[in-house]
Amino acid sequence: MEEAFEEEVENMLTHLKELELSSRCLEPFYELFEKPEEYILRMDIPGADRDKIEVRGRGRIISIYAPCNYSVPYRDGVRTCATCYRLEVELPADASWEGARQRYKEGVLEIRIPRSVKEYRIKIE
Amino acid sequence: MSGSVAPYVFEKKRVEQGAPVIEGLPEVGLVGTITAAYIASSLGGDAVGYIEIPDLPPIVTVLESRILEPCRLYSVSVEQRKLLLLYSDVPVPPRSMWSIANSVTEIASTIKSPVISVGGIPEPDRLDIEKPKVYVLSNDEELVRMALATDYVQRFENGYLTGVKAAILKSAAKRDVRVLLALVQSHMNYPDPGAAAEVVTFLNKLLGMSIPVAPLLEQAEQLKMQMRDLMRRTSTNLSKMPIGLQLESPPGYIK
Repeated sequence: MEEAFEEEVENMLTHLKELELSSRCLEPFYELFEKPEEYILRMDIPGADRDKIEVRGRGRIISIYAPCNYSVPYRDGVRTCATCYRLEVELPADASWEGARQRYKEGVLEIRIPRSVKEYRIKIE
Repeated sequence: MSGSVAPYVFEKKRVEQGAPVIEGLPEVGLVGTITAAYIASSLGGDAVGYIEIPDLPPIVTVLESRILEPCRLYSVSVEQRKLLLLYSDVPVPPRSMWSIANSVTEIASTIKSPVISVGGIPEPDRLDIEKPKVYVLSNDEELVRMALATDYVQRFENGYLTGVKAAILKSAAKRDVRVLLALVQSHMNYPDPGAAAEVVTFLNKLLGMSIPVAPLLEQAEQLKMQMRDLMRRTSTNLSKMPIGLQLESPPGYIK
């Protein structure tokens, strides 16, 4: 069971890496947090060009495109290179683009998306 | 399983007795890895041994045409002091953690040295923290006193530790090895050079060194890119561990 899981993980990591190398586009590490009043989407995009980061919302999909200059040593003195980060995340149904805001700090992009569903407070008698 | 010792080799003649063993294996935010790699590369460390990670398939690291073990020991000299650094290019699988911890404490016991285990402690609000706090914990009150005397750290009071660091603490008790843990608030799933810089600053104060941290901060973004693949593998590994425990508080005593 554990071996099958590890094989699956290894395949997934290999596939992801192959995709990154062939497309020269990196999939950033990201986290989505749920708070009572908003969703917080954070992703690590070091080396991104701050002024060229594009964040778009379409339906429930948020897309992030960020040009970067990624280059690390690889075989034969060649460097693995990438030209951008790209990510698409499906948000829950109550995410509302109105009032969404973002900041980029120390290579981390954070996007805060308000939740549209209003909550009603029920008084305890 | 907790009694097995991972095979290790090191050149005793090139390792100074009493030299602190700095353990920086890949865990939360790769803080230990960045710290160990930065100290080894900025001080020109020599690889003097390795620990074989038992549950990995055969892997060698090739760096500038040199064939190396992935989990290596480096000896570095700094201002008339020597350190032994433990660094790894690959994460330690959870089922190898006990045996790796036993090797670390056995090596420390052989050279009569304390272990200084450095790493990150997950902090969800890390992005809002300019200067992450460093927490220390030790099985030896004298080491805690020395650490607190730097005025740079706080005592780790309540919480849980998991992974290699927990295994080192338990293993050290059996071998009578002194261990100081230095854990800094860090991103959990992103490499965190800023947090590693705080650890280097603390080590400078603790060990009377003056390793500059500015170059580490200047190349932070490049380092994060360089560490991407290792971070992804480490996160996959961490997901097999009860890492969320490190965000929880123990129920404590009922008085």
